[in-house]
Amino acid sequence: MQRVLLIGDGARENAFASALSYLRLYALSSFINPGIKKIVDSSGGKYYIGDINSQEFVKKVKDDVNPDFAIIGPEDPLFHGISDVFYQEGIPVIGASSKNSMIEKSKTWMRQLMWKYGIPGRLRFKAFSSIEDAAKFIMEYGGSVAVKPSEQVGGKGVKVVADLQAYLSQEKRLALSKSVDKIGELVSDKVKVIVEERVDGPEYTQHVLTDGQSYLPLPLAQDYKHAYQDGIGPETGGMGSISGPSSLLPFITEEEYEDTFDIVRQTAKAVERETGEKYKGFISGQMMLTDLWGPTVIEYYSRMGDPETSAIIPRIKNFGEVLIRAAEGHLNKVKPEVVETSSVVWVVSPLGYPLDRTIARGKRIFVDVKKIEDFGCQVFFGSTSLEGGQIITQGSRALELVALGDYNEAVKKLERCVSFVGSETRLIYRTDIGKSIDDMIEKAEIIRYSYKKRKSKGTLGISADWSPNGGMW
Amino acid sequence: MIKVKEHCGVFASMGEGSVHIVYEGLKLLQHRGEESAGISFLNGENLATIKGLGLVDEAIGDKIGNVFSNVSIGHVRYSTTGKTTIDEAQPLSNDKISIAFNGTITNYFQFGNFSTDTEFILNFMAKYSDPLEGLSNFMASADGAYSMVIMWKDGRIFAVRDPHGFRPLVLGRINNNLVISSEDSAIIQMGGKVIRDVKPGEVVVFENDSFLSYQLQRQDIAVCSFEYIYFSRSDTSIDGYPVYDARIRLGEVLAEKHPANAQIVVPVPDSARPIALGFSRKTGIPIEEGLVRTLNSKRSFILPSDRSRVLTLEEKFGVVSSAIKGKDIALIDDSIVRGNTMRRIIQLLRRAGAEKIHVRIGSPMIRYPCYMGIDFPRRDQLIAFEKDESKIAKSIGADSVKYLTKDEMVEAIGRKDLCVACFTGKYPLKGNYNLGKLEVTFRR
Repeated sequence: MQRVLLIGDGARENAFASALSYLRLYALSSFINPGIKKIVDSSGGKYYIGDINSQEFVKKVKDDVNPDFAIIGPEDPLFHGISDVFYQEGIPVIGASSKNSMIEKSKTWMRQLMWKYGIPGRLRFKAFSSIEDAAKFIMEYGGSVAVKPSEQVGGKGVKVVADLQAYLSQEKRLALSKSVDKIGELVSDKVKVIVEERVDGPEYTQHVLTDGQSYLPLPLAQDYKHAYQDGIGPETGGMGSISGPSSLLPFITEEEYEDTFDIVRQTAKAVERETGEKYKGFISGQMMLTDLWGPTVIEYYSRMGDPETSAIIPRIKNFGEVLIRAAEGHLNKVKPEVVETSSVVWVVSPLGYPLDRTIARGKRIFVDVKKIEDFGCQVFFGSTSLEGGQIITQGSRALELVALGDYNEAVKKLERCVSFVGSETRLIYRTDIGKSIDDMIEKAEIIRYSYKKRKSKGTLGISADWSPNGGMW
Repeated sequence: MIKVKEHCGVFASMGEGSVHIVYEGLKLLQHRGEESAGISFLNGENLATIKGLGLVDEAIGDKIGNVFSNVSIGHVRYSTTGKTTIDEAQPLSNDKISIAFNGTITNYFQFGNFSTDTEFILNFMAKYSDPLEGLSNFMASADGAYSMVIMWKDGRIFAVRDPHGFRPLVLGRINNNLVISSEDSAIIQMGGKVIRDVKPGEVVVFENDSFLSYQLQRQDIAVCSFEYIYFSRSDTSIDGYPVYDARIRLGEVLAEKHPANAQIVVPVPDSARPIALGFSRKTGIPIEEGLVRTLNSKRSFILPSDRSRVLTLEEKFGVVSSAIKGKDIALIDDSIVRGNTMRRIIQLLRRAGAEKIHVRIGSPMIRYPCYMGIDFPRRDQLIAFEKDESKIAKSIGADSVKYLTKDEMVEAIGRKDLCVACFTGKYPLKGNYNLGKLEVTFRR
């Protein structure tokens, strides 16, 4: 039986594990994920606990396991050259090389690349190494911008300045420069923050898997970033997601899907030209449908998104086979079997997430997996560790519930299943995920009208704003 | 020390000037086979092969000067099956593939009438359009030892190590060239970098100057203990275990368990030197280089009959009589196969004035033939086949002879996953074979 080594510890990796459960699964996590452990045990593999970002440690585990192929879930190990450990020895692996993962790690690099190669869906941006300069620019520009840390910092620190009018008073301006400061603190690089022109519209993710030769777009998914009901509260790693029906989302057309695929593919090829290394693994476009461009790139992942993964993998019947073929460089030999039915994912988090993780950490939770499965849902464990038979929260998103069915039906299943998750602390989850589809269809229609108009006039991507000093971007 | 036929050495390279890199690599693997040498390379769309009899230099040295290709494989041969003719020199090729092979396919005779096991492999692989599918089926069907490189017409190279990993095979890089070598020492000596050992049951594919691994089979590992005792170069490491360290420890354990009442330790050059060093360190008895191996001596195994073997041996060693005269000697060798060489050396030493001669052997008694790539196939030719230590001493004219036990040897080498079939008769093969029948099949 083939041996696979899975690296990572979240719900995304639990979902990978479920797709690979027919192989002998070896896993490497920083804590014991109960969902991954169950599959490792039943497949006769072995579970290694340790630093997933340490090349030496991963090398040791790799030698011990001698895997047929490996798969790396999260971005941090990619940034730390863990995939390179496998590339150097010719062991098939799913995971971008450390050089190529720059597309996710550095937003500055990503934006420069898109402009250099003239890839559609690019936004104007400015990079600042001094926080003061960034704050000054924002004030002078006067339009709406998005301020982001220049490095990927795990979904933290994105501050969107939507309405500058609200910042006109002195105190509020002070608050603004403070929050820009805060974003900068998260970054070790010289370039601290980037300021992008702000766009609006429905968001969606397109994951593309590549072996360096062929490119396979996965079904679209949408990620719900905000912590609380109806999209308010701080941004998180994602509180839920939806996918389908078929390869699309109800508010994205076939043409937009193809255009997006084209953007992602062009980007992968541009990355290759810059780094001189074949892009292999996932490259995922975090997209927004905007009146400026239509499909517009907000950022890139060099891996699969979490919680999008939990919505996508249960919808592809032969995902394990797809992964094996991709790792071995024969992606063209497999056709993904995507089910028509859509899916909805609800993320369950302990109280405290994402603002105060000390409150969210160390709490027992109780999950009746059998009941959940009886009522038609799947559980993927996230930031929870198995300690002495108890499931203990680690401070982040604890688990993800997935239901397949049309959106109403899936939400009904989730409403029932979420009652089989309990805890000694309060649990936070959003019951609106999967419900507001019609609103998004409407929003997308309005945007579609605008960008199509631009397209017919040949003004796609051209921002026509005026500033007294001119040429600020 | 030279008395059994070595098997073969393989080398492969992808990248600019690959033919010359393979040529240099083969010269550094010369100790693994002196009968013939050859190189196959991609010549435009076709495969071409240059080969000849003798040492690498004389076999192909004057034929490769102007040959350039980015894809090449090479071979130095000592046949374990078949005869010494140019037809059977390797690489062996047809219009689609070329093969350089080190090992023995124990059950090749079950698949039809082939003159060598390499011919069987060529025939088997030629039936497949997908090499990986072919190799996967090959691993499922073939029994025995095979570390080999296969060049496909489409410019790919496949490096294959059998699921037991009997023979070594190493992956590395020399400048911008990817290389495969039977031993890592050759890569290092050429200024290259070793990437890692090819794993048992693995296929490493070179394609477009990059490589990818496929683990096709997993079985219990059984690396040939003779690679450590004698065959490999002392500066080689196999699967991370240095050969030199193993030899030193063989000598130390030998001294501990089988000491000798001697005034000097004399190694049989060259492979027994580290064993003698370990023996000397442990006992405190000084080493004397009492035997000198003459450099241009033809290797004794090239001549077919036992009689001519004894004659050529005489030319191979000189004795430093001032060093050994009147001394009691602990004579250290790595192994005794037929006993011809040892008998002759003892005669030479006695003639030069040695007193007592205690032979100490850094391996157990070889009692069984090998069907995994080494040529000591017939039991009745092995000196230890039906003799004990005192009978062997008598036969070779020594005052005493002591061997390591199997367990002592395993402890000294330091890895447990060794093949010890030639000492125990327990063959780590998939099939059960009638020994008598195999002896007939593999008779030369």
